[in-house]
Amino acid sequence: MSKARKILSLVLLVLMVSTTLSMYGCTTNSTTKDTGEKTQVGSKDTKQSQEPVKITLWTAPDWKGVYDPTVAGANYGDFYKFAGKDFVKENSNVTVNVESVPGADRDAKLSIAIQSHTQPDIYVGADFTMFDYVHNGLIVPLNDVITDADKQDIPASIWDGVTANGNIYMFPYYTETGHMALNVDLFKQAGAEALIPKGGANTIVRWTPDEFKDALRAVKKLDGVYPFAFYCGSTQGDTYNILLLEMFGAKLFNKDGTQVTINDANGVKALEFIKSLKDEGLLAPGAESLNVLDVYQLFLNKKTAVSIFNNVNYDALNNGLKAKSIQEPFNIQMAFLPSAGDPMCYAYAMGSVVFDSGNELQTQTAKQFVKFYTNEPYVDASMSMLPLRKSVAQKLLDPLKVKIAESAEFSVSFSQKAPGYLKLRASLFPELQAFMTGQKTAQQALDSYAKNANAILKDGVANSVLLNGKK
Amino acid sequence: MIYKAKLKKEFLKQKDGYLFILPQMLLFLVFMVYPVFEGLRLSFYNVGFVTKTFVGFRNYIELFKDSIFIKAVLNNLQFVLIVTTLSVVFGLFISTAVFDKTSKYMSFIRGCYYLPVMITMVAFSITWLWMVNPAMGLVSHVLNSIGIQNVNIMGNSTVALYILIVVMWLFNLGEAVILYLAAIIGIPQEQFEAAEIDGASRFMVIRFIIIPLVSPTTFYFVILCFIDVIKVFLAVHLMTAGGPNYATTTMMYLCYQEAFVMNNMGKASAIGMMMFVIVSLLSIIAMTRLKAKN
Repeated sequence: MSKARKILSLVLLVLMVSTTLSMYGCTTNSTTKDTGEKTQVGSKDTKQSQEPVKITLWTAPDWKGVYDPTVAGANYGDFYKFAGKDFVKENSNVTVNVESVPGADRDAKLSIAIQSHTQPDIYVGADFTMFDYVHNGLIVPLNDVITDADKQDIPASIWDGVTANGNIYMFPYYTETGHMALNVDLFKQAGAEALIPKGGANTIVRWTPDEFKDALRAVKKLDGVYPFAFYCGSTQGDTYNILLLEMFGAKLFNKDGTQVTINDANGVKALEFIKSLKDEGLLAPGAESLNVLDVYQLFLNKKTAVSIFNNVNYDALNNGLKAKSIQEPFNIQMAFLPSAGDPMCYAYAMGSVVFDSGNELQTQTAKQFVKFYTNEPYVDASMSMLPLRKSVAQKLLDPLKVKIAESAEFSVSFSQKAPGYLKLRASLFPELQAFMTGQKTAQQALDSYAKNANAILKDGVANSVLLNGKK
Repeated sequence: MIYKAKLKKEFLKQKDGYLFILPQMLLFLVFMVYPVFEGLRLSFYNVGFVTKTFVGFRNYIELFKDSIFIKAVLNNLQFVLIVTTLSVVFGLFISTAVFDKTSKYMSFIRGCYYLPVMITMVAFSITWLWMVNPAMGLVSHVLNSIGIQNVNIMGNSTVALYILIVVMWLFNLGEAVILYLAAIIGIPQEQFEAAEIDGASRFMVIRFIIIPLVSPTTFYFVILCFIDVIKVFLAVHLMTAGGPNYATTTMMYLCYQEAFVMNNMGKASAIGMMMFVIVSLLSIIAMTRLKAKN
């Protein structure tokens, strides 16, 4: 090799090595900074501390825009970015980073983040999806940022749902409430208006499983329309499946939430009832492959006459009608889920939890930020969904939305803050699929689920940091 | 001693080359080799969000007792064997059909078959998902229009798996066509001319000239396809979520479920290690058989 080539090789090599090392250098610097922050315990008052604090907030894609989702260019997470900017104005040492995480990716993303110690400081999501993290001791209590006024403004049942061992783990912000809806125009078209339970346009009507089935039979004659769509293709929307399994009085858990009891006679009866709908041709084909989003879409496309329906779908319907992406007429009658007993719907709190970052200053700042945007004037943004604060709910103008908000009193607690609930829901669907494809009987499917679920529960109880008093 | 001195001399002679690959090697060791050993280590632990307990071979023992894992292994074997065989057969068939046509025609065919490889698996799977949707899909619409009502092909445990196999096969076929065409074009023209003079039919040319001479490509593609297909995840995740009733669950999907849904990183790592063993075994078998043939 000539001398010139050797020199050139050496220069290139030095360049490559220095580039690589400088990349590692960057990483090392930031890691050192993080470690430095973790070792410090800052003042609880973030305004007094000038140490830089970076807060990361992950949110479920709930509503677009800040206060008005119809504004051009509105996107998910805009509200938290807007509130973050105002928070930073008051706390110049703080930066707020907002990321929108689709519900279907939530568990995987959080799991990876927790195991790699890169979890967000704040997560905005549903109470039942967050309790696994509470049981694992990853969420800090928010008692110190919740005032008596907050407690009085939000229903006690909601606080119960986010409290364990006397600690409040979530600051509730809005609610998602699930019912059913009937397409009144399709019922009229089938000459079956009489089978719509009496109540009126802005009410939520009750019906029994038999009345429900009769109504479905009446619209079966419509061409290109399925009376109803059941789904068990994936875990999303499992709340509805559980409520349908409870329609004859079965309960997912026993009273203290330590045992799965859905495989009793009433649970089996409910599952057989669903199968009877399939056998009579009252369901859209392929329940074992359909998912909750398919089912919503079928209803909004006027392909089903009756559907599961929540306040988010109600907003989507109204926005679609306004934007003319959904064709008029589209009149609906809201109904509770069919029940042989009390009326049933679900209502879960959507709110903010704060992950334990191990850095006192960061955790306190995250709590202060949660308090900041869940109070006046920002709390009005919850009207884009369904507000939980009574002071905000009274500003609702849509009478049906008011009724939906009020119906939360009939909501059924389906998760009961059980440890391992996220695993429980994952093991329900294969059993429902086995039943719907005829591989198992109703009793076999529910027994198999109960067996798996009870093992998961037992394991969850044994490993729960919360239940074992370690935290 | 002499050996050591010889080794040192050899190393010093090649030191420029070693120094050049050093940065990449460092990255390779950190990001590729280390995770393999970390995965192996984790497979002997029960890993929770905040706890880690040594459990020895318990994760492996549980796996072999788990009927879902056995089902996933069998599904994976079906995937690997069928997709690889179909890709090789159709890849060869298409390549031998067009290798002596004009370059424009060949490019067009190559482009057509390579198109699925260029679009993402996500887009590919979502399109298929829409087509086979039981309530709103193209397939059910066509079946309805000819009087076949309420059919859900993805709800049939056997059919659903084969639909996924077809999706994976179409996705892999482009690569086989590209590789085989490149290999066939590389065969010396004299071989074909000699065959023509001897009056060999097209079938004989394919059987006695092309297939033997492209066998290194076949060997390379088979190994590549094994490794690629055994990791099948996105199509399963997006199209069936492993259902109905685990009928389409594969090892990679189960690994994902255990790791990120069930939060059982130890068991997921054990599945990962089992995949490593199975890929290695399949590759060794393929290598031995193809070498013996050659």
